[in-house]
Amino acid sequence: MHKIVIARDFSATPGARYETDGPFSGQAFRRAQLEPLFADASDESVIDIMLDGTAGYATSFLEEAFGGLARMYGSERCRRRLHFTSTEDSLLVSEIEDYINDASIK
Amino acid sequence: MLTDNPAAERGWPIRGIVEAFHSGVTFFADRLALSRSEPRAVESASNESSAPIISARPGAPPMKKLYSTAEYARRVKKRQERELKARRRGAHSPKSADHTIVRKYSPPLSGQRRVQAPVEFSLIKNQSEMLAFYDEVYEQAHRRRRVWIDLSRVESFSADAILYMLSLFESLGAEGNYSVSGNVPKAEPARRVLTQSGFFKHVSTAGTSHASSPDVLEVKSGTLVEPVIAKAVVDFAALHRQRPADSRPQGVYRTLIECMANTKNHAYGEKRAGKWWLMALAERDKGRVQFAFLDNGKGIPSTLRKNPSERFRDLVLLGRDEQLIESALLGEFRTRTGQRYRGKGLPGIVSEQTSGEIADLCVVANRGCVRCRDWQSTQLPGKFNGTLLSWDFV
Repeated sequence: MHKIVIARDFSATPGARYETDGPFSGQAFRRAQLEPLFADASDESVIDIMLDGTAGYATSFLEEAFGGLARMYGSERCRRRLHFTSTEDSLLVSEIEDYINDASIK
Repeated sequence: MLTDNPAAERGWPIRGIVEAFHSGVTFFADRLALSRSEPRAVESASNESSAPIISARPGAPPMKKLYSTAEYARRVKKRQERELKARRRGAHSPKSADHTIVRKYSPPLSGQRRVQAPVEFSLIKNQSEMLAFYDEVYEQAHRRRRVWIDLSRVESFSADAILYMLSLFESLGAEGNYSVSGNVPKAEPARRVLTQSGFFKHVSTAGTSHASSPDVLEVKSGTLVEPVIAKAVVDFAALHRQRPADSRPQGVYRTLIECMANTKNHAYGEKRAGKWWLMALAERDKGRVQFAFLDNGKGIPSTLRKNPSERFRDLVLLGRDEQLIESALLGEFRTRTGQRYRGKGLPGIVSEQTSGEIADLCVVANRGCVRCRDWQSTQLPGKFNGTLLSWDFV
């Protein structure tokens, strides 16, 4: 099992969508933290992601980080492997799950 | 011009001398003489001599006599005439090797066009006068290239109006080498807000016209998304709002990130890298924090019209600016990119008002204004270049 604390392992001030938008983008987070864990197609270990401790998350950050991951590796695999924890914002987890689910809809 | 001192400007002190910099903006902030008839303090205080002190007129504070020979007086007069001719030509003073334009007199010089600023310097509360004021500055800058902004009668400043003035200077600078000068308000509260806002950090100054205050989050600007600045805004608001200690306005942070991203990606189009500005003013007595975010790009309605989706083509192309702004705030459009999973930014801002994190959300763009408190949509009396979002943290 892998554990990612975004505030500690990436940034306490997440940014926008793309790396060209500015620092700490969702694209940068996905490339640095998530894609390496999905590169092995046979790896089905759970990834526990702690969302607390940051200043907040822009919708574009979440969509690009997790929706983008689902577009690359499939929503089903993301739902199986990603487990989210948020005590500060009760709606955050469901929002991310929507992005993962919607990623399969074009 | 020594004789161009209106009576209303006499006697109010302003500090420092602000110069025109690459943007061509000068804010004049020091006055060293009152009239042509009075002996002038030509040099700084370090040039004091042992000459006797005389009074210029009965009852007036004593003024130092700086020259004692007819020859010296003649030479000084000739030098003054040379300097006056140089100023009229637009040349720099020979003493200002660093391109500081040293203006010693508060009123406009010959060739400058005075533009009087409204008493209530607020775009949200005084749209008609403010838009006319900005239009006049812009028009005169294009026509005569030397504008004098008279802020002496301003009694109150709002964050949105300060930001728009800075963005106006930026636009003028990008379009050509214009010269804009001005003074500061007589009213102490207004002058304090202007100096503490960080305005004088964005126009070059040779004086000490800036003062920090814990009640002001100074003007910030950028071309990219700056999460650290967004966090600074949230922290500033949290410090000044009367909220429980465990209150975490994460929605506001999210909104600010989206605003910066919108500016970066949509406001200016693909060919131009644009800028955003923001600032906040704490109103301690009201327990609120006034906040404004602005860019002077194309504006929400113009951006929507550039590439309307088929579904909303008629509304976008035929609707008025305020209607388009309101529809965008309500999330009635897909985003400009047209992709399904994007476009939560503007409706997200509205939800922050619904949840009570912010109040009096107002969006101004092109010719439309929407006040989200009561969903009042109006057409502006003039054109606003760009998009302004203003709200109060409560």
